[in-house]
Amino acid sequence: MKKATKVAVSMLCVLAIVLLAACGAPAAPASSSAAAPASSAAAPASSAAAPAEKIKIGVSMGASQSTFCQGLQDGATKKIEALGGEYVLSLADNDPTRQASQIEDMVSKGCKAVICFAADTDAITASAKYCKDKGVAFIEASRISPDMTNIDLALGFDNKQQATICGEAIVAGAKEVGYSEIKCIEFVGSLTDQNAIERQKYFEEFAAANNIKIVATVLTEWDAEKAVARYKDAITAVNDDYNAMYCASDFLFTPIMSVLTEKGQWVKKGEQGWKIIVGIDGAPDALQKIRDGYCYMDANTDVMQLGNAAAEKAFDIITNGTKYEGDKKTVMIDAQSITAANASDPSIWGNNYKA
Amino acid sequence: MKAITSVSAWIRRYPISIVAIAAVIAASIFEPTFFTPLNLTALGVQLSYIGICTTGLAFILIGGGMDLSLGTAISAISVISGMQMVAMKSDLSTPIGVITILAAGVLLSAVNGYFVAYVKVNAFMMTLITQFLFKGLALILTNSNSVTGLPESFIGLYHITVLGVPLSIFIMLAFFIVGQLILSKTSYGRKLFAVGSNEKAARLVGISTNAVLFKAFLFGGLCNGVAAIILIGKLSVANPIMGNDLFLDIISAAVIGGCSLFGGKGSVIGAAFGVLLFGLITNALDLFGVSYQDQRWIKGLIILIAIAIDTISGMLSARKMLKFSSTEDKKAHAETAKM
Repeated sequence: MKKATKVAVSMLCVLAIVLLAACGAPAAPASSSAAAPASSAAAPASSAAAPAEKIKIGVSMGASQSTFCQGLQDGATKKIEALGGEYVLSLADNDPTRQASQIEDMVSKGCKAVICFAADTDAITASAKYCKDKGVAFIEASRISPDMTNIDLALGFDNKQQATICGEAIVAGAKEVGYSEIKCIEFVGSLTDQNAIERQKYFEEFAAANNIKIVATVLTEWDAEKAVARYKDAITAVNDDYNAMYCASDFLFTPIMSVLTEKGQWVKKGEQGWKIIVGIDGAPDALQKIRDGYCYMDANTDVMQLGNAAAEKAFDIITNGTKYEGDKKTVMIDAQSITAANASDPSIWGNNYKA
Repeated sequence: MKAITSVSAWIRRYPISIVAIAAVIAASIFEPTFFTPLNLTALGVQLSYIGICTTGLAFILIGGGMDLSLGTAISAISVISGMQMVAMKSDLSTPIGVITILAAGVLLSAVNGYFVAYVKVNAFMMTLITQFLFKGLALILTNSNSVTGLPESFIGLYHITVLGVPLSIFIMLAFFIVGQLILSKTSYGRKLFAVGSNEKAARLVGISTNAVLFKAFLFGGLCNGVAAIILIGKLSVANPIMGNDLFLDIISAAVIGGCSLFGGKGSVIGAAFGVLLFGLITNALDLFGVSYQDQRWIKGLIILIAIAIDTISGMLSARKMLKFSSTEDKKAHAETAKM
């Protein structure tokens, strides 16, 4: 046993050292440092001139499973590189504890700013305070915390506008196909995400004022598998008596499609049993479903533009010391309505994005 | 147990310590930001709640048990205590909150302990069931929301420092020291090893095996409660899933540190080095910029190797015992034949 233990200990020792050494090699995939020589020479003109030592910016993604998240991540990281900086990327897989630890590690690594897509918009305020205490700028992207005390800047989309666009689309769609009564299933995101809370709140307000009857609410927790299971339960609960669906994110179009396909109800507009499906984001696969006639409307949120803007603002704060106070701390980007008429518009981010 | 009187004896007893030290050296060489006060402090705090939970789990593993539910238990007791403090809104919210979270931790673990130790439900199955129960409890109580508006004084506990070092690090060290002393210097510790090694034999020599294992679960629950206090302070909210993903890191640290999944073997010192090594690996991988996806398989590989070593060591040990017994039997038989 002694010999076996010695051999085992040696193996573990070698493995640990080799892993750590290998991980320290130049081609670390999640950081831009490997591309340093070429990109630093070709830094394009911007409001923030690229300094001699590269500015390091952390990009902390609380979630990364959807095209929306991927688009935000790519928008931020590519802009950071384009501005001559270096990014440190971390993915928290919806775990607020992990995200907090990863942000601490980013600060340890020398990041001057952190762009954050929060796993939990309440819990992330502790990380914002940690960054502030260490002199690191903290910028929220998309998911905005109710408490902005320690947050330098937040960039997001107007949830009220998005929910209203969706509500208006449902009303217009019902009129178009002749539905006298609107019975809507509402798909809600995660209740630790401020965006999801607001989208639900504003849609329900619109629905109450515009004769949209919400017959069921499906809590998806931004998880496709949970969405499918709970949607099926909702259909059973309402006895399949509904004709519209409001999705807090259009990534839910695919789980909906899988359930309706199973039931033989995934049909195009104009066909018997068509349901008015609306959502938010403007992701590529959602646009295709609109072009094909299955879904009715999507509220476009240019997530690439958001990621770009977050990176630019981060550079601005670091190099120019710009401070945002009061209402200027929150910057909202407008959404636009996408229907079959304009779903092929090349300016829509979902038509330009390649994962 | 004999006192360790030489470096070589230490290495034989705790081989993982060499690996951990080697990892510290490697990380310091290859990542300049590793050995800075900022990173070491952050790492220490990140390890503190893992280390405290690992101490509790070590007791349970040594006693032959298992607790898959400790991560979700931490989530559940955090929100229970959080909701109670927010509802109270008084000067006593914080002390009562601390008592609540510790009591809730012990109580939830007692449920596991009772069914495993007394009712003899398989520990893996029992704690797998309670893992889901506690997870559901946390989500139902909070409707999947975080509990906010916690007393500043409670959150402030996390920010207390002693000589510039976060208090949570000292608490973790205290748990390591006390835990190791209990295991090595008390009769309870000896009994725990006996129960984990061979429960039947332990019962035959008069050890109350049920009570011994049950107490290990209670201690584990206390550790979970302390860890939950640190975690709430770290996030400033009580989140219903905040501890759910901790189990893998904790069991990995315990097994790497020498605790056997089959019971009867391990130490808190070994587990402490396991915590250090596993934490170092996570920290170093983050600092090196290794993607989250790659981190998962690397950590999985390390755990697999540690479990394989544990299993092989056990098999080799059993084979050696059989060989020894067989040799002794032959000697005894030969002598009998001479007579």
